[in-house]
Order: sequence, then C-alpha cells, then structure tokens
Amino acid sequence: MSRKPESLSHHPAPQAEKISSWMAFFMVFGGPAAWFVQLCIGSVMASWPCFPNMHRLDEPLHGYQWTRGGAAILLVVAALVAALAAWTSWRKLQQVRGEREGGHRELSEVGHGRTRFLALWGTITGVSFTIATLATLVAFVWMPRCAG
Amino acid sequence: MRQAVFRRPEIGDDNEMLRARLHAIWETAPGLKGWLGTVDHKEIGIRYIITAFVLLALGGIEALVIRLQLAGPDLHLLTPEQYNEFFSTHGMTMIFLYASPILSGFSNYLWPLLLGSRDMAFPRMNAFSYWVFLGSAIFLYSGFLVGAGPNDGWFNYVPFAEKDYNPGFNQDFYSLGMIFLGISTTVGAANFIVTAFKTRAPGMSINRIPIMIWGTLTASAANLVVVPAVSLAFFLLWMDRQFGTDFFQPAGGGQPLLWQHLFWIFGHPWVYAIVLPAMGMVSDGLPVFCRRPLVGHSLVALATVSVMILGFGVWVHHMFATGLPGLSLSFFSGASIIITFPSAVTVFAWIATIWLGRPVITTAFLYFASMILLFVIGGVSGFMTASVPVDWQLTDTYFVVAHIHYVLIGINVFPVVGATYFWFPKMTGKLMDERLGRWGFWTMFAGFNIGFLPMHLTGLLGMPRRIWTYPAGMGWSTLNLVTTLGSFLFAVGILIFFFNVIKSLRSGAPAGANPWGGSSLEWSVSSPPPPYNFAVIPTVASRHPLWEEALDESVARTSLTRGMTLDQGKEALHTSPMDAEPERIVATPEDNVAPFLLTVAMMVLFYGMLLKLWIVIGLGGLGCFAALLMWLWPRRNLLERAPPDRKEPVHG
Repeated sequence: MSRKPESLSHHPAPQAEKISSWMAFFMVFGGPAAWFVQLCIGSVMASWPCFPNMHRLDEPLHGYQWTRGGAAILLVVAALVAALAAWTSWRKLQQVRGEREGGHRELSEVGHGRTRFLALWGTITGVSFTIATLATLVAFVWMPRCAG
Repeated sequence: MRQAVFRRPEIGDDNEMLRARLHAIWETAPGLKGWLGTVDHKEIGIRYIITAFVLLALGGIEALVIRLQLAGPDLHLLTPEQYNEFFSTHGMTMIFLYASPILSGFSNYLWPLLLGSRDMAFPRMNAFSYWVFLGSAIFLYSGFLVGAGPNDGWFNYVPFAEKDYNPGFNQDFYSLGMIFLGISTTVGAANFIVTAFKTRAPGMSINRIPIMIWGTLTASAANLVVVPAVSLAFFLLWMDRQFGTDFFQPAGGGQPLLWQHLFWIFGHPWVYAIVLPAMGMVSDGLPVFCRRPLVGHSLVALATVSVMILGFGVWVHHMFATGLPGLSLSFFSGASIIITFPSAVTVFAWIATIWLGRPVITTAFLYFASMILLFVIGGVSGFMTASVPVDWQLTDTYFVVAHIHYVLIGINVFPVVGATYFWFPKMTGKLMDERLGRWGFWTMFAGFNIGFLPMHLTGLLGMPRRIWTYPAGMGWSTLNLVTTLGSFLFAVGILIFFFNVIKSLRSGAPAGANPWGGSSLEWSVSSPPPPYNFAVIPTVASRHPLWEEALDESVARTSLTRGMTLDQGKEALHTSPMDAEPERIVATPEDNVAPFLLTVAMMVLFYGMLLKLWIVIGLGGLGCFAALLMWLWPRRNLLERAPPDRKEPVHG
C-alpha cells in the first residue's frame, strides 16, 4: 500500500466533465425538491380553505374551490419535474456507464467513479419521488374535500 | 488574518523524525489552560461522550422514578407536579442532552480519522459547540434542581406552557435553555458539513465516503434547517410569557397550532437526526464483523439521504388528531409511509451483509445486530401511527410511548453501546471485557423488551400517556408492573456496561491499531491515535483502504505511508467537495480558551434574561464581546506563513 503518490493521482471520476455541478444537483435533488414543494403548498391548499383561523368548515371558503384543482395540477407538475430528473439521470447513467468497467456489483458495492454514482442516485431518487408524488393523487380521488 | 496559502506540499515518508515534529506541533499544552483551551477533536469528542453518558444516567434515574410511580395503581410516590417535571425532564434529557450529543461525540472523535484529516474544519467552533452543550445542560438542569424544570412535556404544548397556565420559572428555563442549546447544535452542524466537504483525504471522492459520515452529514444538514424553527418557537413563547405578546394565544389572535407546526417541523426531522448517525455506525461497524463490505453501499448511502429528505415532510403526522381536514392529512400520511422504503433498503442491506458474510459474534456485533430487530419493531409501529385512522385510535396512548422508546433506545442506545465496544480500543488503546460485555448485552436486551414490548398492549388497552397514576381494575396494573421490572433490568444492563468501561480503562487488554480488522482509515493509526492523527495525509483509492489486498478490487491502491507531510506548523489540507482533489493548505487555529470564556459569558447572559436583570444581561453581553475579541484577535502564528509559492491547485 505504499505506491508513489504520483501514481495515485488519477481522477476518481474520469468522466466528470459530462455532468456539471448544476446538472448533478438537479439530477439528485430535482425529484425531492419537487415532492417537498407539492407537499407543503398542496397541503396548505387542501387544508386552509376548510380550516381557516381555528374554524373547521364543512365546505371550502367561498372563492377557494379552485384550490383542489390547483393542488392536483401542482402534483402533476411536481411529478413531471421528478420524472424529468429521473430521465436526465438515466440518460447520463448510460453515458458514463463506462467510467470504470464492472457490472452491477461493482456499481453498488465498489462504486468506482463518482459520476456514475451520482447518475445512479439521480435515477433512483427521480423514479422514487415521481411515484411518491403520484401516489398522493390517490387521495384526490378518494377523499371528500373537507372531510376528516 | 487567516488565509489560504497556495504551496506545493512536501511529500515524504512516515518516519520517527516526522512524527516527533508533528507531535510537538499538535500536542495540547499541559495544565488548566490546555484543558480549557484544547481544540483537539478527539479530546472534545470524548468529553461529549462522557457528558452525554452522565446525562443518560440522570435521565435513566428519572425514568426509574417514573416507572416506580406507575408500577401499580393509585401509588403516590410523586405528586402530580413532581411527576410532570420528572417525565418532562426525562424526555428533554434523553432527546436533547443525550441522544444527539452522544452522536456528536462519536462523530467528533471519528470524523477526521475516518476522513484522513488532522482535525475538523473549524476546531475552535468545535470546542465552542461542546462548551455550549455543557453550559446549556447545566442551565436546563439548574431549573430542575430548583424545582422549576420543564413540566409540560418535552414537546411543551401551548397553551399549557403559557404564563396563564404555568406561571413559574419552569418554562422560562426550558425556553431559554433550548435556545442556548440550539446554538451548540447549529455551530456543530455547520462544522460537520464543511468538514465533510472540504477536509477529506485526497481521492476520497463522494462515492467513497463512509456511511457514518453520510449519517451525520445529513443529520447536520437537517439541523441547520430545523433548529432555527424550534429556537424561534421557544423565543416566541418566551416573548409571550415575558412581554405579553400573543403569538400562541388565541385570545389575542395567536394560533396554538403554530406552536405544533414550528415544534414538529423541528421535532420529526430531529428524530432522524438522532437515528441516521447511529445507523451509520451500524453500517460501518457490522461489515467489519461480517468480514465483507456492506451490501449495497451506494444504495444505503442514498437511503440515508432519502430518509432525511422525506423526514422533512412528515411533521404533520404528529398532528393528525388536531382536526385538520383529511385531504391535507393524506399528504403527510403518504409521506410518512413512504419513508419506510429507504429505511427498508438499509435493513435489507444489513441482513444481506450478515447473510453473505462470515459473522464473528462479538459484543459489538450483538448490539449492532440487535438494532436491526429493534429498528424493525419500531418501524412497524411507526408505520401504524402513520395511518390516519389508526393514529386517531392510538394517539396519546402508551402505544406511542412504546413506539418512541423502540425507536430511540432501539436505534440510538443499542448502536451507541455497540459503537463504544467497537471504538473503545481505538480511543483508549484497550479492549473491553467480552464476557462482561455479553452479560451486559443480554441483560439490556431482555430488560428492554420485557419493559417496552408490553407497553404496546398497555396502549392498545387505552392507557393514556402522561398520566400521574391510574385506578385499579383498568387491566393495566400487571402490564405496568412488568414494564417497571423490565426497566430496572434494563438499567442493570446499563450499569454493567458502565462498569465494564471503567474496568477496561483500568485493566483492559492492549488493543493494537486494528483489533477487529477494520477497513476504514481510523484503524490505520495507533490506538489511541497521536494528536496529529496521520503522520502523512493518506491518499485514498477505494472505499475500503485497509481491505484492498483482500478484496483485490482496484488497480490503484491507497497510500498510507507516503504522502503530504504538512509539517510547517499546524496545517490542514482542503480538498474539492466532489472528487476530494487537493486544493489548498490552510493554517489550523491553535488552542484557545476563548470558546470556554464565551460560553461562560453566554451563561451569564441567559441567566440575566431568565431573571430579567438588565445589569446581568449587560455584563453577559460585554463578556461575550470580550471573548469574541479574544477569539478573533489576529495571531502572529497565522501571519508567519510560508509565502505563496504557486497559484495552482496542489496535486500529490
């Protein structure tokens, strides 16, 4: 384990230039960020018109019926952003798959090449948060507006 | 002025002369000044650990008193007021003063060793975070000792915590103490984040970071976001109580629900913040005893980050019973259930690692492996309370108490005790007694499950939490007695552990540098490590620097014996965030008592605020200013740096 440092200085991500820092950030955090935005804004739109200022209502406040549709649209947009992050990551993963030779075991256990590592992360988070966001749509089908 | 100096670093071999030179540079000065002023991360880490264990013992004693009170129906060991203080202080102690600081202690000690660096990114801030933690613990406990500890639960719901219902000093101690403690947490979190991204050894690219680093890193990121929320909540409460504002008072247009939002947007991510670093300990420790790398390292690291991200979006599941409309609750119910997916990834990775490995059953392994079982039980009960209709039945019953104890003891205390057995040899140079360790483990494991498993039933039978006593004939008496007996057995197990620590310190067998055959960098240095950690900065070429020969996994090999020496003063190497390429050499601050003095001045300030004595507040403020001046005073040793040589990144 005592090789000369000069021989150790090969780049840990030889294909690093294929993903910029901003691109990597979008790939990994695009899905989670979209999910979090829809969670916070969507829940407010679903909740506040039914429960303003400590008063629980049976129907949403007059003039706020649009919020249900708004929350649903927000959900779809968030799911699309997460899906875009997943798709981008998947494409990048195909491009940088050759960063180091090796199959799935090397990818998940040995993990050569941080570019491939980030692309893998982006793919998984993108797909996961797309599904998580779409799952929330189920509530819109089943739940009455101000029930509960 | 501190500034980066671009300089081609000296490359050399590890030898006795270099070690002697580094020792002279990095060793803490003897005496009181050195003791109060040290910024050595190892010393600070051990102080954190000892202080947190002392507070664990205090919180445990409070728990035992609570359990005695509840051992049978109609008991009067405590008055209702005393009971409120005991269970509130117990919760505060275990969550804020034990669970998080103990992990900070291990992280403080281990991070630079795991990362291949000489210290944390901001050593004085590191010392400051410890002193503030100690100061705030003293502040909070001083309230309890004068009969004014928190008495509305660790969650401190308004309006009970408002002046009208709680006129004593109890909530003022708690509010100000939590703001004080929040400073420690925030400073520590910022330090961990910068340390993780800037001080990794060359070659430790982002895909080669140990899981324990991921755990504490994500927890620190969460702390930076959520601690301000709870500090704000406590500040607003203090304003309500002291100055008659109406942030949480409905009569004045305030919203009690605002308290719950602010508290739980902190409180739930905090649960993960005190779990993920412990999960990281298991992820890094378990494979050592299984003699193989962790299965799915990348996925476990991703799961760690994902759990933390999802953890931000689940706070409302503590508020399912507050009357919010079901449609909005469904958002948070879904988020709470989804969090089980990355958690399950980690659990399956651990199981697969044991399954595919050749486990060596040591005490540390037993603790790590038992954590998997307890995590699953705690996770399943958490899944149940994530479902809105089920939660409506279970909320505020002992079922929830059982859940939180399985989560917090099962996946914090058990891994931490395991981690102590695992890293004690590194910290002290001595092995802990294995026979005593097994006795301790089985006593703790049996006591814990005898104590807390029946609590699920007590809750299902309808026993509310936070009640002082209960009448006979409710069907809860036998279960409560069993829980009390189990709790005492668990306490015996903890005592055996403490006894083993003291005994092993005095007469433990010599450990050597790598007694377990570990794969990460901390095992490459002597036990205990020298003050400078690494004689030469390692160059890392894989995830398992010490297992490369066995795994035969890479063309390039890690270098531990030849590399950058950085021996022209107290210096550290900063590397790039993604690929850990060497960027610059920076001067590291010397020991200084300013962090200690600043904490003392802050204590004066907070006691002044508590008593509303403006002269004391002024004195405390002046003291803070003087201590900060002392801290930031320009130092000659940082000016006398080697002149800039080349303005280009430094490559080994």
